[in-house]
Amino acid sequence: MADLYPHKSGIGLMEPVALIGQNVCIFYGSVKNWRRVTYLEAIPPFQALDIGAVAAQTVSTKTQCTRLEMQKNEFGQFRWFPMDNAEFKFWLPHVDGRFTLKNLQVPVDMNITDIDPCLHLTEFFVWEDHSPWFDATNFMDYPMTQTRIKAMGFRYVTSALEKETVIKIEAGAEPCTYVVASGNAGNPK
Amino acid sequence: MIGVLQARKGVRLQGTPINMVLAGIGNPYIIFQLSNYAAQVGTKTFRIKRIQGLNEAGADSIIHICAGVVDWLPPLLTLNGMPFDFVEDELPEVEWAVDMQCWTAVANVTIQVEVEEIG
Repeated sequence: MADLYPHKSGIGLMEPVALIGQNVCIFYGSVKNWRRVTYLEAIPPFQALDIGAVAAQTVSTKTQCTRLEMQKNEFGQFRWFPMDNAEFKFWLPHVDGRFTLKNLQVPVDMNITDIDPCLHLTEFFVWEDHSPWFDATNFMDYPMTQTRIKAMGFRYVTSALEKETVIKIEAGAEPCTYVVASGNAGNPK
Repeated sequence: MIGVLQARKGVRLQGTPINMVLAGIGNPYIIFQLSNYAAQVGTKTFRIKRIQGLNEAGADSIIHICAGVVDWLPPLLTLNGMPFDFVEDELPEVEWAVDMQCWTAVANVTIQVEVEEIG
C-alpha cells in the first residue's frame, strides 16, 4: 500500500490509489470518511462534460458535472484534460475553487497533454454525489461551439471502517491512504 | 532561436478564410487574431504553420504578411488562377505577439492561415 498514493505517475497513465481490502480516509470538508475498499474498477476515458458554446473572449457559467458523481458509499479518482481550446477552472464542491494559489485559481488548458502526459497534476477525487463544477474561458477572438473535457479513472465501492480499525490507523498501527475530495480555504493565521 | 521555438509545443488553430477584395497597403486584412483576453492566464504568441489560398485576381499578385504597414515575412508571389500553399518549412520562424494581417497587390486573393499558438 505504501506504493499507492494520489497523483502518482508511474509507468502507464494512471494507477488506483487503493486496492480492494485497503483502508482509505476521504476528506470531504472537515469530515473524515474512514472506509475500506470493497470493489474497484477502471473508468476508461470518456467525455465527462460539454459546457457548450462560449462566445469569443467570454467566460462560461459555472457548470455542474453530474457525469462524475458517484453512488452512495463510493468515491471516484479522476484525471482529465480539455478537448477544446479553452482554459477550464474547476470547483469541488461548488464554492471551493481547486488548484488555487494565493492570487490565482490555476486553469487547465489543452497544453496539459504535452506538459503532463500522465495528467497526474489534474487528479481529483469525488466522494459520493458531491459533483465537481467547471467553467471554460474562451480566450480566443473566435467563438467556440463546444467546450468539452474528457475524464478517466477508477471507481471505488467502500464500506465503513470499524472504530477499532480507525483507532489503530490514527495510532499509526495500521496503514491507510488519505485522499482529499474537496477544496480547502486554507488557514492563513 | 529556431530550436527554442520548435521545442515549445502549442495549440494548432486557424484563421477564417479571407477574400481580400481590396488591394494595396492601405487595405490590410486580419487573417489571424491573437488570443489576448484579459481573463486568460498568461500571454499568448503564435507561429505560422501553413498559408493556403487561391489567386482569383486575374493577374499574378504579391501578398504581404504584415502587422499594419510592416511586413513580418518576405512578400510571397501568388500566380494568377492558381492555388498557393506555403508550409512551415518554407517560411521564416517568426513569432507573433499581435494580430496577423495580409494585404495583396491585386484584389481578389483568398487566404487562410494555420498557426500554432503557445502560452
